[in-house]
Amino acid sequence: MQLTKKTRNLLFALFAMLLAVFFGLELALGSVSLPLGEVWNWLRGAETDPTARALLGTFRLPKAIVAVTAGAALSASGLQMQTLFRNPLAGPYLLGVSSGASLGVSLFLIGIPVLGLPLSAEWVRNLGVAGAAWVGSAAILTIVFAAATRVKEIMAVLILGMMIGSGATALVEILQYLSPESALKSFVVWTMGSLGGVSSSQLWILVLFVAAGLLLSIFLIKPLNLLLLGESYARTLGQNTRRVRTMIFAGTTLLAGTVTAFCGPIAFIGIAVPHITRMVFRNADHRVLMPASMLIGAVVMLGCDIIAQLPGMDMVLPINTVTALVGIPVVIAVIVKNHKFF
Amino acid sequence: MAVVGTNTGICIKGLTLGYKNGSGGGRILCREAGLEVAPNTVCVLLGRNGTGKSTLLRSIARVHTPLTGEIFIGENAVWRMTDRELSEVVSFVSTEIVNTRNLAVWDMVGLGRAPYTNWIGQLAESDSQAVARAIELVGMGGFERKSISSLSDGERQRVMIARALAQDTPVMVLDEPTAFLDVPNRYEIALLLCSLAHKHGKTILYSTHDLEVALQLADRLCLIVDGRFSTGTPEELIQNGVIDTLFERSPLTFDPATKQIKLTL
Repeated sequence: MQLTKKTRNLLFALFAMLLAVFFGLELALGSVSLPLGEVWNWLRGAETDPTARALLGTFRLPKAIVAVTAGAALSASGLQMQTLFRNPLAGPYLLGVSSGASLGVSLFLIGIPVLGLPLSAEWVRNLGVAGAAWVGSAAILTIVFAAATRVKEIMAVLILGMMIGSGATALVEILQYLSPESALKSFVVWTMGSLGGVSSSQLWILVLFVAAGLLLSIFLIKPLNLLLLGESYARTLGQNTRRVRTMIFAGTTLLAGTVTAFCGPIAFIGIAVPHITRMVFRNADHRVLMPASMLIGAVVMLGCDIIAQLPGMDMVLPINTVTALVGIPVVIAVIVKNHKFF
Repeated sequence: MAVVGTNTGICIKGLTLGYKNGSGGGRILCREAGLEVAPNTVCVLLGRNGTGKSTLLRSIARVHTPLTGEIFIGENAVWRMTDRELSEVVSFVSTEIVNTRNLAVWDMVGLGRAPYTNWIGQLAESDSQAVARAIELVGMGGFERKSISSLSDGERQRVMIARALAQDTPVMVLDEPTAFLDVPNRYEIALLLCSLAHKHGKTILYSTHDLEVALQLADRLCLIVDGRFSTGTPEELIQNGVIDTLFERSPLTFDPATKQIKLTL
């Protein structure tokens, strides 16, 4: 039985509150913990300690915004891919889309000094990184989808995606090995992946293009619902499946590609969050799943980053390790229970 | 909005179906075949596995492209219509089992309204009425909030038919709607399709391997044997021995007197 509308709205409100709480905690916690009252004062523009103000404004607020953006983006793209591939294990990371973005970015970062391109302006360079990530992820997505239409088996598609992703990663490593030292440094910094390493011009590009991707996702709600029936049925219901597929590719590329471009590959958020959403909301309708996945994705990402800060300690864990440890149990549960989602 | 039909039949001319493969080979299922289904009747497709029943049905729904030939729905050629136009005249129920978890019966049938709903698929008052009526017609009233994955095969098939009904098209094409069902369910589904054609103005073409059901509940039969289409009423096809050709090269024979299949060893 489905949840009633009232329960559903209550759940939405609950997760919105959780988002606000986690956002506050993300701002307050870190190597130096700030009292929540101080954070609140700063947020409403009241008198604040100058060091706290600098820490919040230049570091923690951008990072919190990146976490919310990345979480929502990866979850929305994972949901789209799971419905398009009709595969509960599809996601931007496991199907190689993130690796494709990495390949694009590494080609770009290593290509600039080699070709001697005069990309001095920071925002031009950042747009280039994003564009390279889009091209890379779109290319991998096209290859994996073409393969998936021939091999229908869910696990086989997954293995194919991982193979193609591993291939892209191998190429990235070769590039890394061959690249001049000057290019290597900026590249290695990028591959470590972090939510905090996003500069303000990168933040703007990230937020802008992810917002475009999320908007596109909203317009994909009806087509995605029809795709629950499969492409044949969707066509007999008047859907231009080729156009819809292109739009989903564009959406996924914008979302997963842009996030990967600036935060590095982040694993398991895209695959796990749609499942958490389905479990919580007990619904298959994308009118519920899409906004709920974005919301829960933002909450989970903030939660992971709070854990990664190891509050009270002087260390920071790579965000990728935390998202993997949070996401993998969900994925294992899906495989073990052999949930038939499609 | 009521689920109303218009007098629209199916007319197929010069149809060649088959699959080409890259090396110039391939397989031709039928050549230059024709078929006519009169408005508001039930026509049942019979034929052994691999004779092209599904391919024919999929061609009418334009999920498959025939090699040559024309398919008309009423006056309009299928290939000339837009996706949207076609979706308003032909609905299709395939053999594909949709078993999405957490998808409610109401939402599933509501997807049939896709050609008429807005950008986000919101059901308007008239859409909700069409969905409620379709669910009622297939006898699934009271199941609206249940998930389709919790239904039996027979119930799920009814929901798939309700989804096609909600699409509100004059022509309905169904690929083996009685497969996987027990005997009472097969008859109930076939009876349902009959009443949709005779009482609700639908034109229905479906395939089945269930000869007994077809002989009793079809207005006309179309047999595909060796790429040839033979059409007629069940009586005619029994009399002229066409039904027998279904059992060539098998240890079975058809007894016209009892209308039953006999095993001769």
